Amino acid sequence: MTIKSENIYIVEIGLKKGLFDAFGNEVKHSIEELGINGIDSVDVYDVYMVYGDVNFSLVRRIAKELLLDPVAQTMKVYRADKNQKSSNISVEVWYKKGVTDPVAMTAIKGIRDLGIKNDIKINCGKKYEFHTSMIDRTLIELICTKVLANTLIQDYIIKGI
Amino acid sequence: MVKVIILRTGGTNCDLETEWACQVAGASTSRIHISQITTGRVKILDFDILIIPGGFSYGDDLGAGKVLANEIMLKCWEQIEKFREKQRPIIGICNGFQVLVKAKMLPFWGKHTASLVWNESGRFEDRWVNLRVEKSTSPFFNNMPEIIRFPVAHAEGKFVLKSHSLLKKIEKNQQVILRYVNPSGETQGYPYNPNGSIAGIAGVCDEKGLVIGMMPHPERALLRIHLPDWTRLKGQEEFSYGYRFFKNVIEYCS
Repeated sequence: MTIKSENIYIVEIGLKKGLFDAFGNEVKHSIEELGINGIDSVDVYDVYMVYGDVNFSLVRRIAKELLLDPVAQTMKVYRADKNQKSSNISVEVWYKKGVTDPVAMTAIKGIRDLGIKNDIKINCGKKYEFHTSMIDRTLIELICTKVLANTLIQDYIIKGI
Repeated sequence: MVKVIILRTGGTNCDLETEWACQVAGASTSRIHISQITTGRVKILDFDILIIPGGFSYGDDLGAGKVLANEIMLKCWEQIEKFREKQRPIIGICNGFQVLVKAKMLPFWGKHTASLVWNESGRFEDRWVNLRVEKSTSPFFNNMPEIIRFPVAHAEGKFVLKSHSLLKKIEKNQQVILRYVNPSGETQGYPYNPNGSIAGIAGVCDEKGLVIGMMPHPERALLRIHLPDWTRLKGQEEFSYGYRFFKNVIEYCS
């Protein structure tokens, strides 16, 4: 079955402004340990690709009631075919097709708990947004393969270069 | 005999230790899977104390404790509310604390006012910490010295509040039960505060003091020989402060 691109939604969950991003800080340190300097900071987001028998309002409900911590996090929901404007370089890391996605399985369980019986599929990933003036695709590729992704089981997508 | 229900699910891993701690302190215990509650086979109201123990419920996949918190809110909230109305203690330890906070039970019932987020160190912190027992509305830390030691073992233990005014409110209401401190009893930064919690908060209770949550593990500090320096300690007491905590909870219900 082919899923129409307008029926694929992305949910991005990130930390609220003002809260220290410990995970992003660790990623920055790991990059520096590679000998790459010039990254000011890294924002890390949990990203969920939601598709199947869904629409925007249902995905928004799932995001709000299941995926979001309303005290500490913010969320963004958009259609996958709508490009998001950003001046920063970002990297998305997703499991390769066929690799078990345990977080997605938990998310489906959580969706069932909400009483939603629709045939919904979820892929879970991470998005890393770099605050940097360094625009060198080779270095970003190096960061992807050495720090952000396990290329045996994960794919990465570089955006903004 | 006081009956304790220890609620578990996939990923819970401190249920056996918690059960043993309750038994040593004189209670009868049942380790019950959440599905037995949601299907009606077991009723929470048949027990005197509800404990949600530590672990990684559902792998903490969508945030620590989040999925179990949702399951409780959506499938057994009525029982939980009645349990609280009957003034029976609800205790969350580590992952259980994360569940109580995310299920809107702490620090204020029915409201999302706090959360537990990633440790500022960016790492899992697993070690003993000094804790200052605060003057609080909770009766469960009575007869304890000012400074005690329990171990922590968590990655998402940084206590944050929705607004700064809430800190003043929970302090004024005496809802802070434990704070991370240095050996002299002063709140300080890392490593004494293992996660960067606001005001060094390690545990809180609701306004009545009967719903409590804490990141440290009292069930891992039950006996004197659990303490890392027990061979150098003076005195021959068999039990440590974790035992006193469980004893206080059980005596409250006796």
